[in-house]
Amino acid sequence: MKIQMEQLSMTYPGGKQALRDVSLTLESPCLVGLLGPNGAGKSTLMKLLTAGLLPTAGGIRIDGQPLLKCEKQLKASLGYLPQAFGLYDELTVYQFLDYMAALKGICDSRQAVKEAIMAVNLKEKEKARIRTLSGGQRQRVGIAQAILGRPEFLVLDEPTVGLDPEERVNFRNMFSRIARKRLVLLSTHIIEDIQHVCDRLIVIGKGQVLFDGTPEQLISMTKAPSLEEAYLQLISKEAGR
Amino acid sequence: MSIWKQFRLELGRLLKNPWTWLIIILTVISPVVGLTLYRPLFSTSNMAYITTMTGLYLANPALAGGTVGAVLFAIFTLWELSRVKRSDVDALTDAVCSPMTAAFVRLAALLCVSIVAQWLTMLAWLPYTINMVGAVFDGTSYITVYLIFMYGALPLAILFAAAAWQFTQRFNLSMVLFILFGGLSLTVWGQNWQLCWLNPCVWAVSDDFSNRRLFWGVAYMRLTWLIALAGLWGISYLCIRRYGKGAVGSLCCNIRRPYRPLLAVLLLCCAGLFYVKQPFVDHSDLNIDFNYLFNVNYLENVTCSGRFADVHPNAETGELFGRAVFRLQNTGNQETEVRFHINPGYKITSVTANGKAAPYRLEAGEQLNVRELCIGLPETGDIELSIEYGGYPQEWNTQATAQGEPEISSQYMKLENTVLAPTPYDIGYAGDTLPASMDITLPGAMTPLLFGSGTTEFLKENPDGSKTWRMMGEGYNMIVYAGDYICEEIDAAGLKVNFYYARKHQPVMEAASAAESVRQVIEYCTDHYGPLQFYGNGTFDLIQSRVSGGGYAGDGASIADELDFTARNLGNNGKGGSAGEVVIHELVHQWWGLGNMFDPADVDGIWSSEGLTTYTTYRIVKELYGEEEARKNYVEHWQAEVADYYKDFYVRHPEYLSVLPEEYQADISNSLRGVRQYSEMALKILKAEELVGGEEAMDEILHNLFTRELNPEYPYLTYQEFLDACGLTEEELSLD
Amino acid sequence: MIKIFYYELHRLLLNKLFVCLLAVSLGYGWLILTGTTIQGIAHTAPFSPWSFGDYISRTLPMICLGEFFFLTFFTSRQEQRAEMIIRATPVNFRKYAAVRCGAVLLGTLGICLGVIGLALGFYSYFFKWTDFGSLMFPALLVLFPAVIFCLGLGWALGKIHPMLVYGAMAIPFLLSWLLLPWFADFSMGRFFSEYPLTIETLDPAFAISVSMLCGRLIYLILGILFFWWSQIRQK
Repeated sequence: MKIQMEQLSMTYPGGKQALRDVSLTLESPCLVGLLGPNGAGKSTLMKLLTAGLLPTAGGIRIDGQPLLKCEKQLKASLGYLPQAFGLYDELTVYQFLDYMAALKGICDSRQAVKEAIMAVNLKEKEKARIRTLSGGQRQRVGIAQAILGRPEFLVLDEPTVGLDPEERVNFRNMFSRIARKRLVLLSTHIIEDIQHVCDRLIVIGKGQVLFDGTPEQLISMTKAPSLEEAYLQLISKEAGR
Repeated sequence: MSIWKQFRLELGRLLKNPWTWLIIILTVISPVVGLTLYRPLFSTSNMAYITTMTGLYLANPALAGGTVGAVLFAIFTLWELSRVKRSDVDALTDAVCSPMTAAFVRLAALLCVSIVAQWLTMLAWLPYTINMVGAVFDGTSYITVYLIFMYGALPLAILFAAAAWQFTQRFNLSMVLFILFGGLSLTVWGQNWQLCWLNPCVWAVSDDFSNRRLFWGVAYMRLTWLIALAGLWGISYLCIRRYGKGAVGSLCCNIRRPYRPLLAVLLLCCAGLFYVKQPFVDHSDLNIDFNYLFNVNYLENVTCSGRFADVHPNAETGELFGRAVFRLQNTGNQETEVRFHINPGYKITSVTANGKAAPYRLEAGEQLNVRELCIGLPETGDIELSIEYGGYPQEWNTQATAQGEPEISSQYMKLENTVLAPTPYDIGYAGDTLPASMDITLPGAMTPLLFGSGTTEFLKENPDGSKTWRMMGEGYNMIVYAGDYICEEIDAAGLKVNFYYARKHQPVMEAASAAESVRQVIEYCTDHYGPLQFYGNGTFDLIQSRVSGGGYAGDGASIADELDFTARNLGNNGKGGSAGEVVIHELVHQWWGLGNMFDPADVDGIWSSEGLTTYTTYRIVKELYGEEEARKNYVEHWQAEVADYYKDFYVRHPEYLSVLPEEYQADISNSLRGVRQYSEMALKILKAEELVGGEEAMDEILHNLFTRELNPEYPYLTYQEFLDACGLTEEELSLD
Repeated sequence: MIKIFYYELHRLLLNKLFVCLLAVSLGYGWLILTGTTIQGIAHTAPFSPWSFGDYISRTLPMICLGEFFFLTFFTSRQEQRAEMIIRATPVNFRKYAAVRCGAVLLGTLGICLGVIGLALGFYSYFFKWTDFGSLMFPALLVLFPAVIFCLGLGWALGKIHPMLVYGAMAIPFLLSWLLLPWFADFSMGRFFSEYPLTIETLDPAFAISVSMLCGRLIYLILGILFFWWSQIRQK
């Protein structure tokens, strides 16, 4: 899968410009990490990529086709976990994932649901109602619905929020495994989540791409001792302008 | 942060919220519904909506405002309480202050907002009410009605809605539960005066006299519910979610402070006690045993030769205390047990026979609004039996939804029979009659009226300003009305008619020349049918009573309901005459219904007082306003009603009526009966008039019937007697 | 889509709210049956199509209230938050909306069947009358357009603002109270109680005028239009 963003801009109705002339190409297989301070435009970029928003300027192509023309095909191979989301509390974990599988049009939903439940380690909570789950367990349900059906393009906005360190490592590794054959776009504030697993790093600040390369390139560019330092130097340099 | 600061913060937030003001404004407007759409007060006429002016323009709007306001505040309560969950700020707020305290503070703030809404409503509607109610407007009643009838519902709705939210934590489910709770009140509980929290049983509200008993009854009901719902809220308070637990888990946590559940349970128990121990209505057996009343086995050896009572009604508390003395003769020379009837609300403080304590017991059962007091008489021949009694009189439970009869206040009293004093049950008179006297002490401004041919004389003025009156009469029972009455003497048909009505009503009566209407009806009916038997010695007392839905007559006196004389009824002169037709109809009942009675046991038949009364009213209207008016508003109306009646499904297919359960049969039959008794009978009488040779001939027949000698064992005027007098058969009066 | 339909129905019906709504509707229906319908409407039998239609028309606002409550499931905060992930699926949103509306319709049908069943049971128990077939057309005439109208209106209003669905709950009651001409009468109450009186014969067979039919069609079409408009708006 190849996703091309050409001079993408997004200005919200209130006048806030969230993205300015963003041009990027994402190609599978790859795990792309998306970093940036709060309000940088990460979530906006993700919403544009998942056809949740329409850009005010520029365009997105999926395998050469404009996104609007192939929206359905995109969503058929998309797994999306937004930053803030809700679940149907009255359903059980299995029922909710089964429901999402039906929405995604997955043929062998039973198998897909079972796989997703195993992957997020919620086997013992399969028949529990969602309202009885803790915050971390709900986050895992969110991840499970995103990976249902082995989507070609996985967009994860801060997926490890609410997870304990051990789970964060597990999921990090899982995303890395998935990215060996698919395109994974992962936005996070936790540098560790992407430091060792992402193939490509995009840093966004004030709606613009500040860096697009590998983590090693960023470190080398900024001559920082660590990726975190490199990121902070880049951001503060941008803020200083 | 202290609770007081939190409360101020929450109240301030609410009052700055535009939605709060929308609810307040809608609540202020809501009484308008009571002017047209929702008029719960009973109408005494089938022809138009008839009730008192206070009822029309004050009570109905207040009751409607209570109902609508309760719904608005329930929705508002649910909206406000769910706000925290909706905005997901509960995690933040719960970390700052206890959710239990927050719940309490929110409830208090909502109750305050409801108080603001209520006061604004009362201010807004005051000018309108003064203008519309007119001369009988009373400021105290205005405030009382709005506070009890309207505001009484708002805190109940808020408490229930808050409890529902705290139990379920779901807006939609809580709303449905409230709809259920309100719906129950409006429907299934509508006939249970203690349960209909949203729509209290208010039958009518007096213009001219006091409504204290009615107000207290409604206030008591609302207080009972307030306590019960406070208890329910208290239980739901324990279910406020904490520590991530559900309702039951939170309950188990919160119950650890014992005072919380104890208080809730205590409140619920109090409410239960209030419900059971209500002082207003008795617990008479609902299966009425008329044999008990009419087939009395009098004691052979005990008679009564006189009685005296010293009665002290307490205008402040609504209670009555007294001492009744009976002169008895025990000719059996043995101890005998005699039975008296007392009002179920009274207690006996002492019973003495010839100065010595006599054994007595009060039977547990109640029926026909009396309770039996059994007293053991000594074997002595002549006995002066003294009974001291008193308490808060209770009404008959069959009238529970129309309370207000035994009113005792500084403005009005109606004291009758066992409300005044105990009456012997199985003791016959020693002679042909029984001389009876009573001293009654009343507030100084009140004038007592003894119903009947007895006498009343002023005895003395007491140091506290009250006055004692002596009444002389006959028999075991007396009926006393007391109020600020004025008396207008009317000369009608050679009689001196003492027309007693409330001083408060004087402007209305004079403006509408009510006395003139009374004179016209008395002269017409006396001229056409004859004088009323209970005129007595050339005088006749016509007494305006507090609203009761009817009237009655006795020797020398007759009662006319205040509803007959409301400004609206008196001003209903669209036909250019001097009196409303409702007034005429009710006054004609003095002749047909009271003067000549109709068998009350004959409930299924077409013959009743209404037929002749409706016909006579038509004749009077014809004389006053012309034939065209009378034909259009009476004859054609009756014809349309009767035509409709014969098309009714159950009239055409009575076999379907008979398969229904009795209660449904009774309801349907009752609804059909009115048409037959009012309209069909009137048409038949009109046809009889044509067949007997015209109006003059019919007048003579009715005159003869009215003045006929009564059979004391069956004094009622029957349909057959009417037919015989006309020389007609029932088939000849068929309307086919 | 069948699975989605099943789950939406699961959410709506396996719910205390549905039980409460059904209980309230049945209780209300019983009161109407024993208070008004039993007397017979317009001089016809209690089990005539006219009386039955009148009964259905009186319970209609309560049924519509239940329908609006079902719609609040799809306008609630929980639903808005779940929409974030649902929007990312390839499901055809028109079909999805239709499936959800179908679930609401089926839930409402459950309440309708309860109310109708109550009346049929009432007739057979008290009057031993079982010719139920003659009652289906009046029921359909009253219920179908009104339910579709409320569904479309509620769905459209819910898309504008979730609280409007709650406000819309008053609309069926208001429309039933207003003295509109027969053909525009939302609940057809006045039609059932007054039209037979205009016919010379007693116990007339159930008949409906063209204008009445048009009126019902207009409500039906309005409901569909509201739904369609909400779909367009969403696009």
